[in-house]
Amino acid sequence: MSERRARTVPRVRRLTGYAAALLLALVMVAPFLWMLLTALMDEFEVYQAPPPLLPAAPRLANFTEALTALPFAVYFRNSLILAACTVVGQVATAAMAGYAFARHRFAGRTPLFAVYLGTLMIPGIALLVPRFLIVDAMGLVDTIAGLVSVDLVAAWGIFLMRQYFLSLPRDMEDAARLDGASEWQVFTRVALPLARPALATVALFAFIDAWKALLWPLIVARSPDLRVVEAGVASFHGMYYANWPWQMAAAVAALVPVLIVFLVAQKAFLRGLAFGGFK
Amino acid sequence: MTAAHRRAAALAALLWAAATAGVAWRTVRKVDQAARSREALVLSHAAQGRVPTPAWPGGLGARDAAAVRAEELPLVVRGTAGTVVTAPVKDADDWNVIGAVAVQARAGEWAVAVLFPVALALLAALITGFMAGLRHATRRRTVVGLDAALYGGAVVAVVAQLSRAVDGLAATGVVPPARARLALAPPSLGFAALVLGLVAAAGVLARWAIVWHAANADRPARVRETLGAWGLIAPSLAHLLVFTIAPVGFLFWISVHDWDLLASDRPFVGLKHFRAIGADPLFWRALRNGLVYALYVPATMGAALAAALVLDQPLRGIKVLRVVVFLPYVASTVAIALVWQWLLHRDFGLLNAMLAAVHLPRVDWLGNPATALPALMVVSAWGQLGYMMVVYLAGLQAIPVSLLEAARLDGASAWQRFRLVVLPMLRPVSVYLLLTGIIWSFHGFTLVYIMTEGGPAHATDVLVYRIYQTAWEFRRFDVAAAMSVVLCLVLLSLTALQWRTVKGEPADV
Repeated sequence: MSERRARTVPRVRRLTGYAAALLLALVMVAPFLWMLLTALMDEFEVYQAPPPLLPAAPRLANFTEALTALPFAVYFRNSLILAACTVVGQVATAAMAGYAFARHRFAGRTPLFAVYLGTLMIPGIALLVPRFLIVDAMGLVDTIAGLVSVDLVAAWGIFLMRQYFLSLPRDMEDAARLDGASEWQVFTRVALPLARPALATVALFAFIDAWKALLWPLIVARSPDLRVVEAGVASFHGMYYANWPWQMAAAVAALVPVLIVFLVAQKAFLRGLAFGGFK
Repeated sequence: MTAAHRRAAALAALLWAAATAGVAWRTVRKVDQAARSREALVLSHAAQGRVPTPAWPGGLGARDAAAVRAEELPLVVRGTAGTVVTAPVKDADDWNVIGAVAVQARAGEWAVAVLFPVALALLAALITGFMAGLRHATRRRTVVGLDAALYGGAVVAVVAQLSRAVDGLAATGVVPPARARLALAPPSLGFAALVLGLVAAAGVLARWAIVWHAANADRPARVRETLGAWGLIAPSLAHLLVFTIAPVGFLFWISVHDWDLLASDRPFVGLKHFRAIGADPLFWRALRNGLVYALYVPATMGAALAAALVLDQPLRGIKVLRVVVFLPYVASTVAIALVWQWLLHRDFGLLNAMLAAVHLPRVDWLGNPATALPALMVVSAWGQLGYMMVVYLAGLQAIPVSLLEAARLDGASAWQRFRLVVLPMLRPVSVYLLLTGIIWSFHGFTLVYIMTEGGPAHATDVLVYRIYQTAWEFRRFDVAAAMSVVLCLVLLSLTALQWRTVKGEPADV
């Protein structure tokens, strides 16, 4: 009797586990699925009660029509530039500063480290007004440079890189020094290749954040040819308010790049969450 | 102390003195201009028939503009933007700009030239002190302190002289000859003092670097390492200084000054803007909405913990689930906002169709003030459920099995094991999720911007959206800055709380 119980209880638990997992997955995926299905429907097909669950005749033309109704090619180009600059800037500065804090004993290190920790506390969202006015004073409002300027450095990434370098053994670097490598060579040829996983994490979060950014692009890049995808979809929403299939098609298009990057680099993503995904 | 150090020190002292003199020159010139401003150019096209109420000193009222043209009323235009200063002329409601006046300074002799001998003497003393201090390179702290005191004294003396000159202008009424009764106001000395302070800091730092280098001349490896490390840090430090550290000070500065994009003048107004937002019911509404909105965090945590408890076993395919639950976290927020707006559509949304199928009344989720904020909370909860669940799963799996076994052997029921073992063990994870989640909830902008635009009837107006509207739609950067200060303080205290709770725990990577 007790033997049977011991076997059946885990099975029941496993079944409820699978049921819960399935339910959770369904709840998470359903809105995305609905987005895709609506994107394939006809403009007036969606105006029915109850709504049709599947498109009568899948209409791929929605995508081409929606993405050419506004110049989305330009928006994607701007988003890619923003994301690329953010990734390069954050990865480069995080690697350099993180390495310096982890590996070098230098004059001024302690107060400087305190300053960096302090900047980690400052909520960027409260700095919109002064940052905008500073960028304005530099004459960079409505330019690509102004768009990419504020997020080129992330204190979060610097601390992640520092922690990672601290966790690496110094043996290889010391061996390279004995072989006559310069400090710069030790950094670029030895330390950086070892830190590739952490670099990937910084790069991934920089990309996702840059791609999802809406507020800063909205205030600093107002002219249509500087719009990023998020701002483009937002204004598309205002213009084609009644055409839900088009809106959903634009939304799907905005999702695809970041989804591809995420699926390719999930490992780096989970590593970043372990460090504290909310910044 | 080598000859090279002495040369470098001399150069630094010279640059320092030059920078100081430059700033002082600029300020003195502005005081001088204020004393001599004569040429007035009235560009006003003030509308007739409005109730004449001078809006002063933020701009000129309609009556002022008329009076200016009639050359009856002496007016002082404040501003620091070059030799021509403009001021907007506003209507009776102090809202619309209906014209402008411009005032130009005329070239002439120095009115406050008396300042210069004093300033130069101080600077000469400074340079001498700078060079003399180098001999005591071993006592760096003393030397730097001496510098700071000496230079600080010089700056205070110069600013005091300037402000006496400014007071003198005010005493004589700045009354220009009758040709045009407009005059420039003397410049704000606060800005000059700030720049002088920065110059002072740069000088002290340069001196510190030279003395440090001289003291470490016999340790080339340490010098090299320090230079290399500062080189690696310089790019991020420069960026943080310009885009993070300076904006904090700037934010507080804007919040206590008038900042009108059209006026070249930004007078100090104390806590005026804070009083304004304090008296603004919409601000309190936004703050309250933000606090209510943040309640989705504990609610989602509860749901996430329940899901994690059910899934806390080696299930096949759990990795796929892990990818799926993160989709909302990485997905474009605008896309999420759009699809939820569509799902919550009053007439054709999927949710209302489901309600109708079970004969429940349709709800205008986003159009009804009572349901709009809860609807946004549900969307946010959906977006973060998966993330929180995965964090809880990691927390659950970190609880030692032996602990639970011991509790079971002691006869603890499942509920007791959960309440007395699992929950206390999860406490650090919960506190972390709660505080970071609430901090994050105050960042939420996209959902409000796309789905409700703060409506209906400000039911979903949150602080960030209020700041956005105030600054970039109503162009009141000063009021928006005051709101940002409040937001900044709220978030800083939450962050401080979070850091205090994680202190003592090992950093996990």
